[in-house]
Amino acid sequence: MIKLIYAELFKIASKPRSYLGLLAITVIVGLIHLAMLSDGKNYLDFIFSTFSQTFDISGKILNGNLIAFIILQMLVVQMPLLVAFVTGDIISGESAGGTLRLLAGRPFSRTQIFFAKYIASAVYTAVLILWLGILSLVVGRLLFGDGDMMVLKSDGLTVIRAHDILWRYGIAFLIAFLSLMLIASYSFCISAFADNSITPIVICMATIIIFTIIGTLEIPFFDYVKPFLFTTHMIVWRNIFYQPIDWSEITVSMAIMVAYIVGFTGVAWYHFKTKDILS
Amino acid sequence: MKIIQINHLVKTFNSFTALSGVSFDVNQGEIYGLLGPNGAGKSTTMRCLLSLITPTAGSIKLFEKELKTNRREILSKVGYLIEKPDFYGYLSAKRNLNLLAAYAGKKISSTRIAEVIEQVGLNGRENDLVKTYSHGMKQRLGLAQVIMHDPELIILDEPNTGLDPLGIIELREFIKQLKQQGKTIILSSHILSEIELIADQMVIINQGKVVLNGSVHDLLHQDDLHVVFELGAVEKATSVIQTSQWLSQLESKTATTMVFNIKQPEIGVLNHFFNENNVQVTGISYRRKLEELYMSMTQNIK
Repeated sequence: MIKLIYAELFKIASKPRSYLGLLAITVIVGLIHLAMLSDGKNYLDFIFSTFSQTFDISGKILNGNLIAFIILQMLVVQMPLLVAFVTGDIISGESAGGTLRLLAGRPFSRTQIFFAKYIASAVYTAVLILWLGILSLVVGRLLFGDGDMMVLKSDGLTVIRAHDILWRYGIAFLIAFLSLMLIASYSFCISAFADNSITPIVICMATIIIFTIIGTLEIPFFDYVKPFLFTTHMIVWRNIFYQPIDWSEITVSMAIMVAYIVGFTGVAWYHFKTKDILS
Repeated sequence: MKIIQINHLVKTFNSFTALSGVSFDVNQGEIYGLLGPNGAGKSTTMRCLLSLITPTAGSIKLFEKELKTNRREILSKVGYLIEKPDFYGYLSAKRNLNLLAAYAGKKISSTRIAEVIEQVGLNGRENDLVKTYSHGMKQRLGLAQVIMHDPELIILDEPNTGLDPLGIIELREFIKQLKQQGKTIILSSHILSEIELIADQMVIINQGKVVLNGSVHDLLHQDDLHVVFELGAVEKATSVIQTSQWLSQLESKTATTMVFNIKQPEIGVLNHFFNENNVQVTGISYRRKLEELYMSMTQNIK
């Protein structure tokens, strides 16, 4: 099994498309850093202008911690695309390329092949998150320094002390990883059914866009639906930066995401295990 | 020892029946030809042997063990190439083989990989990306991955497709070498002459059914040919052969042709006989028995 996981990781590492995600993160985060370096103060003045009439905000609010928070919020839409771009191709790409039949007649069970691919996808997702963490938080702190972090909410503002931030980021990145694993599992699931690599990516993105739109529409009818949309729970990482932390909401959202992951993976596994390989 | 035992294999895809009770056995050390028109069920049978497709009914035993319950053990002794040779184009041939070695179920050394690369004639190009390869080179790589783990049973689905004449000859020799090494080989083809040249046994499949199964030698009676003489005057020819030895070998006739069941050296003798008796011969053609057999088996079965 270890050999198979290594082989799948090797395939991911050998494909040029796998580096597009890392490159995209580097470019986006680099541009945000550059923009903040040149005009960050004005940007934050504009953002916090509502509160400047109520509070006296003094000191350096532009720091690496806040930049990392802004980056994480901005990348909520892009990161799933980058993940689906690779994970959506892992089974369907082999099916389309005819290489799936090269593997499926070997002395390993379909289950072993499936989970080797799935674990490799999880590792790739973790690498993306890790890379995002390094660029946004580590490089951000190197460029903009450490300090207290001000977090805007729809109904107010939270200040988190510098010594109280790192562990929150640790959990935030873990939740972000879980969110992206949900996307990876979803695209993986579609990939198990599809015979080309474009379909899973398109379906995955279309789902995220539709669910996000439904999630933002303030129409009472959708209020019944929203708790069941996985996109509703993917942004729960933000709650870790609020005071007090609503752990119950975070736990419920994480449990729902895990349920989705198990569901998508289970469906994909059963289909892959039983499907006829005709390509 | 029976290497393959297929018993009443049935496979349906929704309402379409691809295999309808296919049964045949393959003995150890034989080259077994699977013959049939496109869509006859050859590839489906081979995919069932590799568990790429789950049969709807019937049983498959490989190495005298049920495939369903001994999959890992069985498939570690099988090498295969199904349809066209597809590989990871973004990797070199060597990397492809290294990668597939991980799936082989046994340890394959880099020395062995170098050895098979040389055996199939890809040395010097093994580090080039496969996407730069021609079809023939991909086919060679396909054969390298088939043999790299030294399998006992080799399954080749239409291995001649897309190869030039030289490639076909080389492949034929390669398969013969594998047989000499004691391998059992099952290959499908719609090129009749290839099956005739290399197979010991053959089965003709049509519309998902086995319509003929047996030894190639026995089925062909290779000495006999169906020779068609195109004649200027069939009536005159009929009268001149009435008192000759050729009458017993006359199989059929039309307004312009006479078909004889004769041996190859007799073609010239019969031609000479017609000339001597002033019967103009405008053309001679012959069809091999296998073609006759194939045509009759695949066109008349409903």
